[in-house]
Amino acid sequence: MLTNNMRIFGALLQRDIKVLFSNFGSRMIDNVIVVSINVFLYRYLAPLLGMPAHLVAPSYIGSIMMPMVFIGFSLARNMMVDLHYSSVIEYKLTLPLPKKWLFASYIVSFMIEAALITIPLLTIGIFLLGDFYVPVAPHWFATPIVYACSLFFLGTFFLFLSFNYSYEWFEQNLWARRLSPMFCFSATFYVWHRIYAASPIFGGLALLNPFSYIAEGIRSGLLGNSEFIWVWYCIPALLFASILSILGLTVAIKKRIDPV
Amino acid sequence: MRRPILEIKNVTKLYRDKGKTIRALNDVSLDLYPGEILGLLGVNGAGKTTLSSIIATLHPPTSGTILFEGHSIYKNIISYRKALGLCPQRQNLDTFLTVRENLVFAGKYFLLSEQEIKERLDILLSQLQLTKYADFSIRALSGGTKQRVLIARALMHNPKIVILDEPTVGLDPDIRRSLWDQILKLKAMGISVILTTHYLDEAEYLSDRICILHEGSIRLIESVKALKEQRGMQTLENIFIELLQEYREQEC
Repeated sequence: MLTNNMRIFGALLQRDIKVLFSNFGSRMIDNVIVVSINVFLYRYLAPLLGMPAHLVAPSYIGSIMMPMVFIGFSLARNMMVDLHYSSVIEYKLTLPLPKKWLFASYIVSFMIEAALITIPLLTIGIFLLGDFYVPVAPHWFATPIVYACSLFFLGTFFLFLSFNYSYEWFEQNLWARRLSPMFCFSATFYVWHRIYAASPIFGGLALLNPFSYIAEGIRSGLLGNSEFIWVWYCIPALLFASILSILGLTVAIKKRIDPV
Repeated sequence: MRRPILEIKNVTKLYRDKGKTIRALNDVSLDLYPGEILGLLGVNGAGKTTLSSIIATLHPPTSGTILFEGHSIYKNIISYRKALGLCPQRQNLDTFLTVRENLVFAGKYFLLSEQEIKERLDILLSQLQLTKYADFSIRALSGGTKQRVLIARALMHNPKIVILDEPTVGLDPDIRRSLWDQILKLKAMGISVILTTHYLDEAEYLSDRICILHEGSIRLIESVKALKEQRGMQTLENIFIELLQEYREQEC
């Protein structure tokens, strides 16, 4: 039984990877553009505008959230279009596979895609930062864990969004009412300790936001500076946020498609 | 006595919509026999798609059960799904893949070996006249060809039961006829078919028995021949219209 489930699960992932590689070059170009702009902003422009040198690398690392969220949004949008128009999920729900495995395949597929795209971008970006990247005490063991937890959270979160909202609401309101506030009231673009020092209220709000733990966790992992939320705090926070997303996803799936 | 391959027993389905409870199916019971084509008829909203999606295990019933070869499908849903092929109303093929890739992945999803996949692929491409389209993208196909690919995908794993939900809707008459021949071939192969259709000529031509659903309840299950004799009418269309009038009068 387990072997059969794994074989079908593997076939679902194989299909997704095949489709991913059919337009991988184009996807990479999109994200290289985003990273190039970010490197230009943080490596050259921000210091000219007065940003202290030690904040350049953390700000750049936080910006890697953008391609992650774009890929997550793409997952959610594809699922939304499928639920509304193409219904490939109806076929997949009739496969000899428990539905938990099917939904897990969507999440794992997202994690693979996001990792294949963002890890090279992050590496190239750090290389281009040159002297601005000064790791103090990086957590090389914890970094892949926090990265995987971040992608796992984003996978569950965006899948939840796609099942929870109507197509019209998703298309028209999701960015303005959910994703933009989550970006802005998080530690994505700023280091959390700085936000807290400037405004404890905003600092507190950012602690309620899982996006903060993604940005701070990766910063802490790659730089190891005490200015960031410790990576080993970020990992359980992201796992807790993932559990909440999974609970929300379970309810939303039941409400939306009522599967067996 | 022939034993049914599928027994639908007292299936009821309730939906909640904007605070109201809607009874989509009401105590539906019917049997499907091996090698039989059962036509599921009814006006829009009668419950045909709800019933076929419950049989396809897309949704659970609110109450009642379904037995496959004498065992509840909900006790071993995985083995039931291996015996079931679904050709849904919406053409939900994987548009990122070619015809061949769609079928190969269907084989992998149903745990066929590489050799079995190759054999089934060759047979189905040839049977459904899809060989020349094998490496076409799904997006490049006409509606009728996509419908044949859907049927091929449903048959890839050699199912014992196939659900065809409006398989010929929107197709040209010659393509409809060609698909009818394919459906009759399924019957000849011993596959049981549940055919949901709005086209009464199609139901009359293909079905061994027809089942009429009206407002979520089964009103009639009968062979087309017996029905014609009972009613003294030549076409299923006339019978169906007369029956609908009777049902509406009863409701009044």
